[in-house]
Amino acid sequence: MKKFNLNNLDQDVYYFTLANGFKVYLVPFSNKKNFYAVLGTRYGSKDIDFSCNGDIHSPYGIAHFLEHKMFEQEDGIDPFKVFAKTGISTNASTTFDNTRYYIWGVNELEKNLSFLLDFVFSPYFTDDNVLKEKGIIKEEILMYEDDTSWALDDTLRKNMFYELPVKEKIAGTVESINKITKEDLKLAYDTFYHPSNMFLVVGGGINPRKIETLIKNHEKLKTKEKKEIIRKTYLEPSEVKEEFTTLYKNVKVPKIEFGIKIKKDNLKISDVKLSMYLGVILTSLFGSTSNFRENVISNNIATNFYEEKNRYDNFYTLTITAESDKADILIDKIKKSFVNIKISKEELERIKKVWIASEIRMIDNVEITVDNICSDLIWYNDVYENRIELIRELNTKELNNLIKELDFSNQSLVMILPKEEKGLF
Amino acid sequence: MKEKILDLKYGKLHLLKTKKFRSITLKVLLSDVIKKEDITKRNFLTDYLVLTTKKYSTRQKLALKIQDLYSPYISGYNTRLGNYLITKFSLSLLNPKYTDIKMLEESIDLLSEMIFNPNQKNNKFEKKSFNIIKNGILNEIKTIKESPKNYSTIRMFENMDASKPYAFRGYGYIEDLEKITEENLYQYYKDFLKTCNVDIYVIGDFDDDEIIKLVKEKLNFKTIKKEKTSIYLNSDKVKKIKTIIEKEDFKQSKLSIGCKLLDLTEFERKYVINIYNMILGGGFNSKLMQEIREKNSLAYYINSNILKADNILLIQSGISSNNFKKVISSIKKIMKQMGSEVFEAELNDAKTEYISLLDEVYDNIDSILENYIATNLLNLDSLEKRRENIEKISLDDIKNISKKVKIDTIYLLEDGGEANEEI
Repeated sequence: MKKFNLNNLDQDVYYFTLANGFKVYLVPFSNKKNFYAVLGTRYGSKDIDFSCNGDIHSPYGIAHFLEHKMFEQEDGIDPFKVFAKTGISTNASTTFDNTRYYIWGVNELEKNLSFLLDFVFSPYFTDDNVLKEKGIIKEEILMYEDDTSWALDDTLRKNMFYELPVKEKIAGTVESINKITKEDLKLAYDTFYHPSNMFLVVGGGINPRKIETLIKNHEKLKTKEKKEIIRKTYLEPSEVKEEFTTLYKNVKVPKIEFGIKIKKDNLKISDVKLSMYLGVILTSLFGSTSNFRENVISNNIATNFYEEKNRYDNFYTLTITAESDKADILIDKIKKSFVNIKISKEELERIKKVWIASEIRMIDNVEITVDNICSDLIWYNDVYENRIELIRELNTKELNNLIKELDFSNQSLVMILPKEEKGLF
Repeated sequence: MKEKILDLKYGKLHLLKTKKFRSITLKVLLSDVIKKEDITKRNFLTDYLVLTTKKYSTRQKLALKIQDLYSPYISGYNTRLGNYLITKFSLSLLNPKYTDIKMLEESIDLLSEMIFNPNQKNNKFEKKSFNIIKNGILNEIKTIKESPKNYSTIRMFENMDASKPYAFRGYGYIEDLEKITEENLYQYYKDFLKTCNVDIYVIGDFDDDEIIKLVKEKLNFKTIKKEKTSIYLNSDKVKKIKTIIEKEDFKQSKLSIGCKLLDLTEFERKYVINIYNMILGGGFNSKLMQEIREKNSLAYYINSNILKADNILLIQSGISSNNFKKVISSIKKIMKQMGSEVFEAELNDAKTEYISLLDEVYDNIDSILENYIATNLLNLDSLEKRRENIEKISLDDIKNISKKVKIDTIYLLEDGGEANEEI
């Protein structure tokens, strides 16, 4: 087991990798009682096409379905109940590129951690328990359909991508999940829930040596064999599929989400730096101190305005979401912002100062620290030991070169208008 | 950690010292007895104070100032608790030892600027800022139905008893918004600062004398102390269960059930009701979740919550409307079981779960602070005492309290149908 000092801030992180490729990161906090553990697999809603004795195409929503089903055990034991016995909470989540199982609480870490591994590595799928889950997930899908911010995101991705499966919703659709069988689940499980594709991150009031011993001796992690996963590579064009979509819904104030699709290939910069510089660009153009925001807010052009950056395989999207009843003016202004972007040294230094302060604060929080390590593992298959140093290295020369290289012209827009306006245009 | 409480001329200063965190948080609570017609005004005022000041009149100027201070989190918002409407100003900064020694004073200066030096001239708030904020609030009120789960709960409470504080809409009302002017809001601001109750909390690693000096100097309220009304709403009666169904154009129906808690004893109110709630609908292992979701696949979520100061237990779920009757009869059956079919093992699990929720409080700076605030406002016991007393709860306690939890109003926001135009 090795260790490093996180951001040079008096916080140790221990780590090791098993022969089978299973990665473990442990973050002991000297002044905390609770622990938080995440067992994750690099398998999410986008991983529907892969090879396993032939090409497989799974129904959309399978990773999320699998996440639900992992809580079903052959001996009828309910993991929620087992954890509750010692006051431990548990949950799970699925995104485009990963699935995570969490536990958090105070008591009996080793025993509970061991059980977390036991249950996630013990699949049990039957026709009956698969059928039962369809009703529950159907209600979950309907719940998200009523949420306008999900509707904007989901539609914008559909507009932007031709081939990448992220064009579909994480949970799939009521139709696609109805096609899922126990055989589909088993195949996906065997492919993606192999230790080679997984990791464990634990933080809080923990003893790293004890956890190391537990992991190295755990029955479910005994295999020495590594497994290579063959995922389909998609030929995704740089262009967006649709430039504009309007939805009519039960809303009173129109909503928009504007997005730019950016292909990562051919850019001469590391992935993590690219992500940071895109963050700098978004913050400079639309952040709290931007002229754009001041102008749009003070002229009542938009309310509830926010900017985001998303990562999908070898693409990034930059999005701006707003409520606005002057959408035409707003969109025109957003588009103009991306022409001739200029960021001064002074402004870059200001952004860096704010980000560094925020990195220091984040280390106080076990959940955020653990989640950040998970994100690094999912995106970079490695963990950045000193993010503050990376932030310090950002400079206007690299930034301006990157701005010259970036193509901001692949744009798409989704609008949600009040239903009453349907037919007026 | 020990809470040190100091009497200031206008209210109390609560100091919580801990070396566990890299930040310092300061909260100013200004509260008074809630009146329906005050809600919109107060929301407007709080936004106005934190979004524009005399010195930093635009959001951009304010944002630049905040960045100069290494970006402390600074915010103002209103919440209702029982009979009270509480305005909370929150300032959370990185401990100055990581930034610059002057940052504590300068950050408190900015908070002070927000509260005591609003953007006004000749006893009027400034028109442009006023209109921007008005527009934002108008949007919030107009979009209230876009969170169907909340909207369903609001409508349930309005049907339960429209005159009670729990039925007041936290976003405010359009008709009240229209009455607000730059002049009368400024007048309201001056009156409110004179009459509200003031509590100031500080948590983190700081020097007592320095904080006391800064608070006295920069947060110098001039309020008049007054008689305190209880935060708790009186316990109520249930006549007959009301069932209300309204249609909206959504994909999923949202169910809200309001139960009244009748004449709880102090021990029940402080302890037993939390464990009762935990068993009924407090988590994944609850009876509601097991029966409605796991056994019958009728919902993705169903949970219950205690609104302690309101004497209410609230059940919420998202369902398909054709399952409405089935879900309601299951819920009634489960609530009946709470009086007869709760077992020792369930009770122990619920206690363990609840105690571990209490234990989680200690590791997060904001939850420690919020716990102290709630303990003081609701007159609860310390975390240590709560842990002890939870252990004393027996099956008989659960059985007894189950007779005091009565369904009053069942509200379904039904999917499909024609949208109701009124807001």
